Amino acid sequence: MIRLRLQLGLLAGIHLFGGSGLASETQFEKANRLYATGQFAEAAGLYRSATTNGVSANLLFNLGNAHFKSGQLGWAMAAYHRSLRLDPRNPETAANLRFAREQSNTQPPQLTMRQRWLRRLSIGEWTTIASAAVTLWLLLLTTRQLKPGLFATRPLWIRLPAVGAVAGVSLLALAAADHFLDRRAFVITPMAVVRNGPLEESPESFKAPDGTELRVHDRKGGFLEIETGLGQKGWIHSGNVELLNP
Amino acid sequence: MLAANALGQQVSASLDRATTSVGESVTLSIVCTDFTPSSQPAMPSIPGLRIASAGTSRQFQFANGKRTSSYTLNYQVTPLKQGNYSISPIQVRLDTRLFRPKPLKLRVLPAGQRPKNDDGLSQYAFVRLLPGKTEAYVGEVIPLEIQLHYIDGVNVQLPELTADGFNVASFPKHKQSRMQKGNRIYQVLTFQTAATPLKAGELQLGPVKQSMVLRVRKRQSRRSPFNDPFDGFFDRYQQVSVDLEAEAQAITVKPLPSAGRPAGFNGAVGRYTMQAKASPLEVTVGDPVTVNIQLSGQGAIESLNLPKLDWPGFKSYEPSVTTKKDNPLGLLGTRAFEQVVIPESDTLTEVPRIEFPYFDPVAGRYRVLANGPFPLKVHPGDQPVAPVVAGNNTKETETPEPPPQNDILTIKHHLGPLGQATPLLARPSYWLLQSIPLLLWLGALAWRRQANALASNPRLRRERQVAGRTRAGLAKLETLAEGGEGGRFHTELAEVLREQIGLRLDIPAEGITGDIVHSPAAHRQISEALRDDIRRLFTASDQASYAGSQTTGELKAHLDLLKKLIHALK
Repeated sequence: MIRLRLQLGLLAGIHLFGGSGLASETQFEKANRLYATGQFAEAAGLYRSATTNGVSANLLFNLGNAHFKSGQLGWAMAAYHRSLRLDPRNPETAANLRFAREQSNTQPPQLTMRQRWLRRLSIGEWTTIASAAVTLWLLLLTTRQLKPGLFATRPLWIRLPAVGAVAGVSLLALAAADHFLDRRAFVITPMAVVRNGPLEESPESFKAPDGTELRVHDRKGGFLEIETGLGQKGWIHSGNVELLNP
Repeated sequence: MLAANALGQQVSASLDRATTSVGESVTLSIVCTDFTPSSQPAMPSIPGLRIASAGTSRQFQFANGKRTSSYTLNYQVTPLKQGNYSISPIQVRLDTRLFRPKPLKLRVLPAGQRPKNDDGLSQYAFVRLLPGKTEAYVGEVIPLEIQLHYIDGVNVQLPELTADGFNVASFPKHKQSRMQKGNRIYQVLTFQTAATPLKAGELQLGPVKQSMVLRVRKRQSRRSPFNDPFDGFFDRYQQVSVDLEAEAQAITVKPLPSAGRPAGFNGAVGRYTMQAKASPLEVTVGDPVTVNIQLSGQGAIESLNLPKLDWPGFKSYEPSVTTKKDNPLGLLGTRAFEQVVIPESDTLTEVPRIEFPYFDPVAGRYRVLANGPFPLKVHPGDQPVAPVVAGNNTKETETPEPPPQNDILTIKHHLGPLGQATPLLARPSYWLLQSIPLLLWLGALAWRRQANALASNPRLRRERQVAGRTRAGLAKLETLAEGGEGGRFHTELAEVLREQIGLRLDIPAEGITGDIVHSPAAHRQISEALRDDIRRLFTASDQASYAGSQTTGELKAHLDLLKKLIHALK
């Protein structure tokens, strides 16, 4: 009886915590097989459905590859960027993104020095660093309350972790602002029309090819006010772009 | 209300409000842009209205090396009879030319009657919406002025302009001036912006709403000479919050003509000039040639874009663009494009002609600016040259460049650690976990404060010790009473009693006996009835030491008496 209960508990645990992972793994492997046989669009669909159960840098990397091979540069670049957000120092993802950019023949918006520096670590890594620093500091403060004499002759044991915690939290705040307020978007249609105003009847200003990286400034109705890496400005229909932060 | 000619000289006429009552004057302003009339404008003679000159003013603006001036003639229009009036014809003469702005409508109500929504504060403050033109083409920028006139006030909010069908720029910093109207002097805040019509048709610009707090003089009540002569002297003004509104203006927006639209037209509307150059003009196949194009003028400078330079025989890259605005609204300025093109053949002899088509709203027709072609000499290369962008000179370096990537790197075969798409920071579980060390520290802090408080208060410490001792003693006494162990019962009872009395009298518990009830301290702090009870318990305890066992009932009676005493001593 006890054994039966244990087995039931184990099954419930797998269902709760491991079930979605197994489903993703299965879809991932099936999509890899489709990719290997040249069915890139189908592979992209399967990779995308796998992301509903959770994401990994490798899953997004493969999704980017499948889109690239299907000729969808904008979708591919968005997937590579999302993969880099999870694993920012992955050279293979950076290489594929660079190659996709070269194919789209467009220039990305310039990054500031702060953005370049903050994006060396993922938001998860910044969170872990800040949490560790704050936790260490709070535990030392707790210890000082429980054993007041312990740090009487060693004030630096409290001050240095305090400086570390403040620095960690400040950097995390900057990284979080950069992550959550990221207004980048990618053109996902072959030649998207950019207009002078946010209306269908507004005159056409220029055309942006698939894969053009844009910075979004404003939204009016179904239109986004955008700027390209070369400083061209205009309004584009939101259906023509994929936002990095939907 | 506007008349214009091809030189950009124009006249606009406006009233500060469209409805008034008999005897209440309104101001009529005639603004002449870029000229001064050669004679006083001819004002119509209208029965029921008296029109008198109220002075002139002049404003200059320098931008992009050009001077723009406006000459304003103000008239005071005083209605003598109620009715609906059309003020026309207004004729402004410049040499042989005659400008005739559109008629102005004025509604005059009977004397003393105020228009709807007029609470009598319009004499203290009002808002005017002055569009630079009332007829425009789609994409043509209309400069706008919103003028807030007020005599005395604070907390002026930014105007709220309703402009459906227009793209409106944000308001730069306002200008401040003064204006006299009749015998009143108004502060004038001028907010400038620009509206670009996005569609053709009869559109409405406005209304404009603006809030502020006015300082107005209180109405003086009749005073008796016997009242306090200083009554109201210090509070003759009151502050009144007002929501001002300027009426909407009709703007006729014309579509850009389809006839004569040049190829490559991409929606640029305004008046522009172009300068272009290409360099170097002697290159080898594959070498970059930089084409610099500058568009300067009046219009929506920031949204100007160059038609794509797709020239046969040249590989072209996206241009880099910079914008220099010469006025805060960005209606004057220069937009510069730097385009790199690479000749792919030595048979090319020129950099082709560069054309920029735009629509000139003043002339009402399309124009095409052109520069070039530029003669080009292309030498054949010894070997195929990889395309390079100007500025990225290829130099031999110590570290060899990695071989060029010909395709994307292949897929990964391991899924890797799977996580949620939501970052850790945005998950409630993270914050819950992160709060644990914080709570630990807060708990330790509270515990330390309590310990410190106890250490510095011996009385409190003793109270706690006695309370603990009493709780344990009473429990033990219950057991001993049940077991009928009289000797041990009375020894314990005396101990508990000593602790309670010692605490109450703030003396050591050791050595306290029944005689304590005769001490002066006990007389001061313990009532006589309680002292009797204490004596009885001590006596019973002493007797029990000598007299042997007692019944459970007797022991319980002593225990009850002890509990009553403890309660009373507290």
